[in-house]
Order: sequence, then structure tokens, then C-alpha cells
Amino acid sequence: MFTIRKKNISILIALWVWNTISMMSQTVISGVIREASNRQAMPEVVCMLTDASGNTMLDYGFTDKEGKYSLRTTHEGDSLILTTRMMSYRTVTLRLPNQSQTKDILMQDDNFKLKEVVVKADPITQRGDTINYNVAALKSAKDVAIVDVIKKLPGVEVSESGKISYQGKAINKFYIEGMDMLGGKYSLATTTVPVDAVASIQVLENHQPIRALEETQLSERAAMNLKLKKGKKLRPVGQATLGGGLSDEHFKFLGAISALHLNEKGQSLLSLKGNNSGTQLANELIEHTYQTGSVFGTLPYTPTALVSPSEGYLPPIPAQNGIFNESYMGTYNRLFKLKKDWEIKVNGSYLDEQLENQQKETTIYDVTGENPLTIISNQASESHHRQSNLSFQFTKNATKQYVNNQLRLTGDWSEAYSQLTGTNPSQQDFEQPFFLVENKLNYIGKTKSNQFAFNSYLRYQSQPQEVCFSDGDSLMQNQQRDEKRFYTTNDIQMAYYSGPSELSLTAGFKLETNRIRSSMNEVPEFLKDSVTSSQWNYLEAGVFVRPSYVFKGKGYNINLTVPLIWQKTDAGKQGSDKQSFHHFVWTPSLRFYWKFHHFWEFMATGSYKHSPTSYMNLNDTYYYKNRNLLQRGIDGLGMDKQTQGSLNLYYRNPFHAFWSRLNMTYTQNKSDLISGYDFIGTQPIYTWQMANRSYKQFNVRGNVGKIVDAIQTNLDVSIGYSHTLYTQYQQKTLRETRSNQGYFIFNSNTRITSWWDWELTWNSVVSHNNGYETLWNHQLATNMTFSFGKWTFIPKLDYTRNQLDASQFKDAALLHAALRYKLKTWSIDLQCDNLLDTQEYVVRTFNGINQYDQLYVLRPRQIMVKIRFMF
Amino acid sequence: MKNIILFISLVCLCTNVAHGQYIVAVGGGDPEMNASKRDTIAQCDVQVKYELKFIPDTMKRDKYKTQTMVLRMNTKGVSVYQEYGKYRSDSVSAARTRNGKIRLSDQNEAIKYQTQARDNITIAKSWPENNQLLVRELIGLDGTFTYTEEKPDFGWQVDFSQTKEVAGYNCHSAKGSYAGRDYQVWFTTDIPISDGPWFFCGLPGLILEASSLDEEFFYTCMSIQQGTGPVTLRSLDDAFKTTREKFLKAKRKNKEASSAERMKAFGDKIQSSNISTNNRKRVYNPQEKY
Repeated sequence: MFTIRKKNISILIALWVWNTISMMSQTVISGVIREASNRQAMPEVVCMLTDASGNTMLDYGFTDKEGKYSLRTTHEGDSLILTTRMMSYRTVTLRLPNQSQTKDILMQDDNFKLKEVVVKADPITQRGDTINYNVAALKSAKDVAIVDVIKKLPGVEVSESGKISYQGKAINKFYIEGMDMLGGKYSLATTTVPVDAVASIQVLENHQPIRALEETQLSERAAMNLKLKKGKKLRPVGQATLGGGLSDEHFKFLGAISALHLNEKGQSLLSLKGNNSGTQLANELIEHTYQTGSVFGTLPYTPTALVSPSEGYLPPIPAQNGIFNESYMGTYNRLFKLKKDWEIKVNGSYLDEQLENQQKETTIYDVTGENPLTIISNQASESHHRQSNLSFQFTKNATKQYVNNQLRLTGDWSEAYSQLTGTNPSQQDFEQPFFLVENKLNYIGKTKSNQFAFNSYLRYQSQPQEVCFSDGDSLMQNQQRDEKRFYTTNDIQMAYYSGPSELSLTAGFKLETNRIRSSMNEVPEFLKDSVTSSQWNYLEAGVFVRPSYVFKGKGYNINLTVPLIWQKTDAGKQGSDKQSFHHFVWTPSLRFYWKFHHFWEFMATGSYKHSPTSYMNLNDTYYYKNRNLLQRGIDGLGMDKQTQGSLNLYYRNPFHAFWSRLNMTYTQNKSDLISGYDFIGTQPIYTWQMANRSYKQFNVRGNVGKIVDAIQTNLDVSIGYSHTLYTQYQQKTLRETRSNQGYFIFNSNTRITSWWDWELTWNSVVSHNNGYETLWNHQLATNMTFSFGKWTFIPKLDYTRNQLDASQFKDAALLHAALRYKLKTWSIDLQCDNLLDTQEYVVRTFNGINQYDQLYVLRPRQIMVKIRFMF
Repeated sequence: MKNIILFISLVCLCTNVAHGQYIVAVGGGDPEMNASKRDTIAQCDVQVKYELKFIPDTMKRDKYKTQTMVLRMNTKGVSVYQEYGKYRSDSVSAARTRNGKIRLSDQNEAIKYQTQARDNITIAKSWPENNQLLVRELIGLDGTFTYTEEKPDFGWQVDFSQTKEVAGYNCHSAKGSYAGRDYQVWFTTDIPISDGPWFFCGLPGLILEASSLDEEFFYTCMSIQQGTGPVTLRSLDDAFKTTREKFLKAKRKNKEASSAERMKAFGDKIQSSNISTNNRKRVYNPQEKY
């Protein structure tokens, strides 16, 4: 007992000694802090003790109610720094010897000015596969609709027609707050939703829209999603615009109202627009993601006109500069979100658009030959498109089941008128109606290890079209062309998954019937012994199997597909024997995709296709598509063989706002059928011949997009080159053509100061064919935005320089200016277009045999006042 | 012009009516009503807005929610922290209140600023005493709860050598823990107020950025402005005074309640035949684990 007690006491003494020594080696700085003016004690003053360098904090604390503080440290340096801080008082910093002491401090009043800060959101952030583009950080004062910002996003391109691509690939879906109301007609939304209503634009990379396929079928395409600002989500969002002005003494108007509304039960978009001031509304109704998804290819969304005025080469300038229009459009779109995973969509639109166009075309056929033929065609044309569309879609998109059915009805009552002067003068009237009904049904059912799918596509279209030519007052010719086509493809698919492998087998069939009735009255003399009226009936049936194997490794996948098709084509003219053709077609393809780094992707593809040419060319009948284009088919089917390969490298780093891609493609095509022009006098005839045709093209393209913070600039550079060797047919002669073309596009968007933005685009294209002149076409587009409070001034210049020959160039400059006064929800614009009143745009092209000179009449000077209300 | 107005009306008719939380007077009109009482606890010297980003469901770590929060404080450290929409709503109400009364239209105007905030929490620091904080929150239909306790001790480990610029201010790093989570924060001594978003405090400068080390909660400063007006707190007269433990328990119970349980809580106040039978518990990831 005595021993234990003694031991306890020893331990206690040792602890006391150790504590005392510790306390003795500790420095304690304490004191009272008071206001210098009135000597009152100051509580809550921040007190910090650091080493002599100020880089290491040793202790900190706060004064109590009586202004007392106490700081301790065991630091061994010679001196310490004591700092006392409080807002609205001058900071006190004292260097003290490293020894315990009492230090009372007086603090002086100070006019403390807080450094006010508003943090700008990062323009681009990434979360998983989603890249967020912050609209507030990217928009400028001149931007009105969200498409104006989408065009500036690095990695994203928007074509003239409104189609959006990400990293060179078209997006597969466009969502607004996660809902796909518009399908492929998303231009209705991008040109409607005000830029001030959107918080961010999301790009969903590798987006698989079908939930049942999320874990099995990868997608290398992206989707886009608009995230609206919080205050805009439960009330209508949109804008209403009214404008009027003058152009060449003609009154110009603009009226538009668009409203988007969304809540958790669905979305709706109503849009009513009309103008005659240069905005073509048909572009807003283009279906950008349409496909029928069959081994037999995809039909066009709307059928190509059987008769139409010659359109020629469209000038590479913004369409608004060359459009003469009177356009009206109404569209209503509604998405109903039913119970979980179910939705119904209704989309309807009506378009009534009149377009006028004046162009002069001088074509020199066989320009380098011994007997070139010159045809001059001066055309003033008016087209009147009237089209209505109605579609109903029902979708169930669940993780184990996908059902989608879409029924579409389209009616079109278009007509056109054209006045031709020159080599083959005439007046032409075109009737171009068509009617179309289509149904697409898709079903996917999934279990743990396998999947079943069924797809059915049905379409019926009728095109009873006609063109009349008149020379003065008397009718010369009347051409009728009436096509009635029925088309269906149906297939089922079974897929089996095991580990990293997926094996699927698809089997299906196609059936197509087509009846083409062609009738020409008042046959010209040179066609007296030819077939000019007939009825051809076609039946094409095919069955196919498509085995496919996918192997998914870590970060890569390999996809091999080998479709095998047996196809029978029957073609017969009424009153004659039927011809039958049987073909065995195979179109294997291989794709390798590798994401070898968080920022890098690589893809290689290869495909081969061996298939018959289109049955539509199988006829012996001459018919006019327009006065300058007489066509005839051929008495047989040819065979096409195509080989294609591509290598693609992608880099994207959202953290550094840097996107780039490099694509190389090689295509080789051989056929025993070729088409081209023959001539009878000055009448070109487009015809088909049984002859060997070859086509080889090598294409390389690169693109870089970057936001450079240091100079507040969004940069985009594209460069491309293609080399093509191909066979052309003209006037009973086959010719080999060698063509080289290159392009360079530079675009920059710079915030020079807080009130001055500058956008610059430079586009150069060079082409060289068959030893002909090398032709350069340059385009410069630049605009500035000056913002002063509520005022914005936007001058803009579009300048083109086109080379016609070694010493001749044709310049065109279009100067525009806009002045805007903007309040929170209202703005008034004074817009002046083509201030220099530039009249025409000229361009020359050469295709290896023929030289084409086109002259387009441009919109004259125009002044408009527009009032816009945003809600 | 008439046709334009007709068209706009047609647009509004054709689209869904927004589901707002507006008050409608029985019988119509714009009557006066009693305004919520507010107490001024300090004059605002500094106002800081933060973005709170958090994971509501730990099983879906790629899904975030964000909320804007505001901290209004005076130089002595008295502050109120709450959701920004709620602050704006309170400001509008306060501005339109006369003699304790507010018009129905003005109250609906104020309601417009309220958002679907995750939290209705209000945290007042250095209130009622210097070393205390007060928490106030409306929890479902259970009512408003409040508790007072000592300011939390995060056990800060300051690393003065680590610096970073946040919102244009030079900041130092510190690490600490509270209620089951570890945090790293960035504070600036250039603003010598010992405060920050949520419960963060106790450093020799204002905290401008904070994140939990499990990457589930992030606070980022969005703006710093000279403060104006008073720092107010809604009256506690109708609040149920409790302890922190009971408060957290009641909050968890409310947040995790299924749709059916919430409907049941209405009792006979609900007159819809559309009663939910969904008994699945909701997901709740509280920042205070205990």
C-alpha cells in the first residue's frame, strides 16, 4: 500500500513539473482592445498571431465582451506578429518579441470600403456525361433567341437550315427541361425561346434516348437540353414582335408571337409568324432527326418534286440577303406527360410561303472542248408553298419496355411560276401537290439477358404533278407526272447479352409498289419517235437477315454487322411484258470505338455495299422536269459497289473549354450505270447509260473550338481538303475528272470591353479541277456590338470576293446596321439592311467539264422598325 | 391592336395555368390581412450570396440540386442565413406592411419570390447571445420549430500556407468537423467577420467556400455586397421551442414521410378523392447526420 501511494504521488509530481515547464515555454500574448476615440472596449475583434514571416498562423481568437484577448504559442522564433482586425477599423499589425506580455491596443475608425464582387459563373462545366454551357456567361447584347447563343458554343455547329451538330455529328434529340416535344423540328424552339429565359444549355454526350437500350446500345451522338431559369418554368415564356418598314418603295412587315409553356404535366408551344422582310419560315419546320431505320435506307421526310423550276447553285451567303418572300406559318405542339414513362405528343403546322427569285445563269457545256455549247438562262421565278402537317405520337419509355407509335399526315399544295429568257425562252407553270400518310411503330422488350424488338414502317404518298410551258400566249407543251407509291418495311430482332458480348439477329422484309404515269402533250419534233407517255408499274420486294455482334471492352467497343438481303424488282410498262430482276445484296460494316482517355475518343469505321441501282431509273420515257431539263431513264438495272472507311479522332476538355476533332474519310464507288447530259440542239437531256463509272474521294477535315479567357474570346477554326477522281458522262463521251477542293473557316467572338463585342468569320474555299483555273472564293462576315446602358448598336458587314478567272474577281459588300433600345421586357429595333444597296451576287464554278456562272439578284436596301415584347 | 390582345389572351388560354401558391380571397377583392411579425436583430453591413450544391440521394451521386442562399450580417457577427427566395419574399412583405397589416395582392407578390427550396431553415448566429445561435424552421404541417444552443465547435485546423483566390479575395484553408461530416473551407481575413454559410463560423475571417470531404455538399460564394437595410428574423411567438435532437428527429420524419403519410397528416382538411396510396419512403440526405 505504502509503495502504491508513493508511486501515485511521484506521477503527480512529474505531471505538475512537466506542465509547469510547458507553461513556462509557452508565450502568452494578452491584453485589451479599445476604440481609440472613446476608449470603449471592443468585443468580437479578430486577433491573430503568426510567425515573423506571416506565413504560419500560430493562434487566433476573438475579444470578449470586455475587449480582452489571449493568444498562446510554443513557437521558438525570436519574434511574432500580432494582427487585430475589425470591419470599419484600421487593421493593427505589431511585431513583438517572442515572450509573454500584455499588449493593449487602440483601434482607429476607418472608412472601410468593402470590395464588392459578383462572381461570374464558369461558362462551361461538366458533370459526368453532361456539359453545361452557362448562357449568362456566353450571351451578348445582340442575342435575342437561344439559337444566337447555341451558334457560339465551342464544339457545336448550327447549319444555315438550323441543324445542330456536336463534334461534327448531328444531335439525336433536343429537349426542353428534359422533354422532347418537337422531335426533329427543334428549330421552332431555338428561334423562339428568348435568350433571357434560359439558364444553361446542356449537351448530353453519348446519349441513348431509349431507356431500355441505355445499358446495352451505346450511342456516339449527343443530345441537347435547355434548362430554363427558375422563374420561367411555370408560366408562358416567349416573345411577340411587330415590325414595319420600307424596301425599294415596297411596304415590309413582320409579325410573330410564340409562347412556350411547361410544367410537370407537359409542354406546349404555340407559334404564329408572318413576314415579307427576308426570313424564310420553312427552315423552322425542317425535320432534322428523321430516319426510318431500315437496311433499305431512309426515305426523305417529304418527297422530291417531280417537276420544278431549275434551282441552280445556291449562293453561299446568308439566305436572308437573297430571299424575296411573303411567309406565314402557324404551329401548335403539345406534349402530355401521362403516368410515369408515358407521353403523348401532338404536333401540327401550316406553312404558306411565297418566294421570288431572280437569277441569271450562263452555262458553258464542255468549256475546254472543241465545240463548247453555251446556254443562257435568265429566270424570274415565284414559288408558292402551302403545306400542312399533323402528327400524333404515343410513347412509353421505360427501362424494360419501349413502345413508340407515330402517325403523320402531310398535305402540300405548292405551285410555281417561272419566266425564262435566253437560249430557251418560255413561261412555265408548275403544279406540285403531294399527299403523304406515314406510320412508324417501334417496340422493344427487355429481360435480364435478352431483348426483343419489333419495327414497322408504312408510307403511302401520292404526287399528281404537272408543268405547262407556253411561248407567249400559245401552249407549247404540257407535261404530267403522277406517282403513287406505297412502301413498308417490317422487322423483328432478338438480342442476347452475355458478359461483354451482345449478339443480335434481325429479320424482316420490305414491300414497295410504285405507279408512275407520265404524259406529254404537244410533243416536240425531235421526240416524235420516242416514248413520251406511259404508265410504269414497279414492285420491289426484299427479305433480309442482319446478324450483328458487339463486344464491349473497358473503354472500347467493336461492332460488326453483316446484313444479307435478297431483293426482287419487277418493272413493267402498261401494255408490255414485265421485266424481273433478282439480286443478292450484302452490306457489311465494322466500327471500332475507343475512349482511351477522359478527354480523347477514337473511332474507325469501314463498310462495303453491293446493291442494284434505283428502280426509278428503269423506264424508257422522256419527260420534262422543267423547260431546261428533259429526262429519260434506262432499260435495265445497274449494280453499285461502294467501299468506305473513316478514321476519327476527338478531343474535348470542358475544363479548359477546348474542343477539337480530326476526320479522314475514303470512299470508293464503282457502278455499271452512269448519268449525264446529252444534247439535241440547245436542249439538254439528262439520261442514263450502261457504262462503267468510278468515283474515289479522300477527305480530311479538322476543327478546333476554344474559349480563351485571357482575351475573352471564343475561337473556332475549321480546315478541310478533298481530292476526288470520278467519271463523268456528257454527250456520249466518258471523261475522267480530277478535283481538289480545300476550305478554311475562322470564327472568333471577342468581348473587347464590357460594352464592345466583336464577331469575325473568315471563310475561304479553293477549287481546282482538271487543269482548269484555280478558283478562290472568300467570304468575310464581321459584326460589332456596342452596348451603352439600354442602347445597343450593331453594325455588320458581309463581304464576298469570288474569282471568275486568273484576272477577274467579283466583289459584293453588304452593310447592315441595327440600333436597339432595350428595357426589361420590351425592346425597339431600328434595322437597316444592305445600306450600300448592293444589287447582285456572282459566282463561277467548274465541275470538270462545264463552267457555270450564276448571278443572283439581292434584296435591295431595307429599313424596318421592330417592337419586341418578351415574357 | 385589339386582335393582338386577343391573340395573346388565346395563347394564355390554350396553355396550362401555372400551379402557384397564391392566396385567393373567398368572395374576391383585395382585403388586408395580418402580416407576419418580424424582429430586427441588427443592421446589415455585409450581404453574401452562396450557391449550395448537394446530392439529395446518395444512391445517385451524379444528380445534384442547387439552391441560392444568402447570409446577411453586421460587423459584430450577428447574422441571419436563409434561402435567397425566402429572404426576398420577406423583404417584399416587410416593405409592403403598414401597421402590422398587408394587402392580399402584396402578399401574393411576395409569394412569387419563394421557390421550391429544399430547406426552410433560418440560422441566426451570435443571437440571442454572442456565443449562441438560433435555428428556426417550418417542418411540414407539424409547425415551426426553433432551438437555441451554443455555436458549434468545428475544431478548425488552419493551414495558413495554403492559399487560393475565391471571389477575388485571398483565402486560407481550414479543415474541421461537425455533426458527422468533415469539411474543408476557404476563409478570407480581409473580411474579419467570423461567419460563413450554414453553421460555419469560428475562423478569423469570412468563409467564402466550403465543401464536405465526402463530396455531397458544396458552398460557393456568388457575390459579396455592401449590406443595406435591417437583418430581421420572423417572430418566434408561434414557434415550438425544442432541442436540437428533437428538431432533427422531427425534420427527418417529415422529409422521409411517404406521399400517403403526408396526405394522412392533412386529416379532414383535404377534400380530394385523389388520395395518394404511395407508401414508399422518400430519400433524405441530411447535412447534419446527428
